[in-house]
Amino acid sequence: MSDDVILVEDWRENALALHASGHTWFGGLTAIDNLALGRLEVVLVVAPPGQIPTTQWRTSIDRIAPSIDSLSDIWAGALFAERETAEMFGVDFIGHPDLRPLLLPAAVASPPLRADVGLVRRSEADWPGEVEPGDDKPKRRRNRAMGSDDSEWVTSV
Amino acid sequence: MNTPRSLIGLEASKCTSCMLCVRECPVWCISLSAHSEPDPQSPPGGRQRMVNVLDEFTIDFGVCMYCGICVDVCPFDALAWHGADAGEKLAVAARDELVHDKEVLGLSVFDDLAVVDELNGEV
Amino acid sequence: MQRQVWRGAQRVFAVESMALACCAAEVAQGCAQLDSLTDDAAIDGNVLLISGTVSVGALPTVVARFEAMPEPKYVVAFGACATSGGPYWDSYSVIPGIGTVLPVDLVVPGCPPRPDLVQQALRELEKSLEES
Repeated sequence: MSDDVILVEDWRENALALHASGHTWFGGLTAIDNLALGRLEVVLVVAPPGQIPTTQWRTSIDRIAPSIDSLSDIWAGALFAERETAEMFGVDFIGHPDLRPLLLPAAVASPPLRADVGLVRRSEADWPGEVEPGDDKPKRRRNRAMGSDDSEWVTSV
Repeated sequence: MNTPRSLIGLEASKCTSCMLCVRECPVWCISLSAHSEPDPQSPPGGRQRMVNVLDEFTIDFGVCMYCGICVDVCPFDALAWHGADAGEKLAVAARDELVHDKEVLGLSVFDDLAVVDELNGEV
Repeated sequence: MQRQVWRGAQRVFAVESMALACCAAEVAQGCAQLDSLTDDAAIDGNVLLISGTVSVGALPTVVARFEAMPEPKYVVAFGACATSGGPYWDSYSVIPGIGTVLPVDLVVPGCPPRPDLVQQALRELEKSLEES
């Protein structure tokens, strides 16, 4: 899949041009929380019907208060995809008619798929791998489960 | 008898409490505790070596997803697919009864260590 | 969901399956041999066979189904997810085992358990009721 990077100002215009040129099949729209870049990337996959998609269009938006134009009036499929991206990453889609949660229960405090949001149940559970065998007390430098690092997490889901 | 996705058994005499299975388990369903003791096989006159002695080893089969990562990762081949199906042996009334300690995990079949080697492809 | 009937050695159960995720494939196979429940069947108990990951969103439907079932009624949690949340025990949107919400009479571990364990679980349930 090749990447076509679009400026966020051109996001909607580019989408309209794609649709007008025959890309009427909606493949998906999602986000990637790119901590290294410090930005949220939004990714769109569309194609002419019957063709295997070979390109994805992506742009990047601010992580703190992310918002971007909705494409849901161009492709109806974007209605669900943008709702899901909104609840999972906290993105505001300007012009979307109905951004209520698609999958999540209302009580989730932070967008769960953000890279800096961890799983409360796992961070609260005692990792059985934390103990050092043969010791009664944990070592000064705590063992961490793979993929966990408290310092990077806002643990609130 | 090498039946993947079945219950998992422990040959406790092979376990060195290295913690690899505990740490690699993706669902955190394995726990163990151990203490260290002077190694009776330390050479006389040399520095007293310590050795880990396994106190307790449990697998929670209610959470286990039978992926076999623990079996693959154990450097001492102390874990193996038991062969008996979890659902068949362990359909029980209480959720807690699915947490199995090393007495249950130890298998009569492991009385013959050659069988363990065969299970782990060493033959 | 179509209810089926299971005839054991001592009891006849009406079985209703709520198969919420991948275990549905095994449960469907495991229930394939069961007859459909007819209105005039004599029933000793109603079994709610819950399998698959119970999400927070699906929970009200599961609970409503349980509450609507006539007595005597029993719950069987089939598979790791229904038993404990399985590999998803840590998720914000997963109920870590239906037993944290409903009274569960039997749990069947496995990921997934084999299809023939559906009927074996019903036999186990019957046996435990006979013994109590």
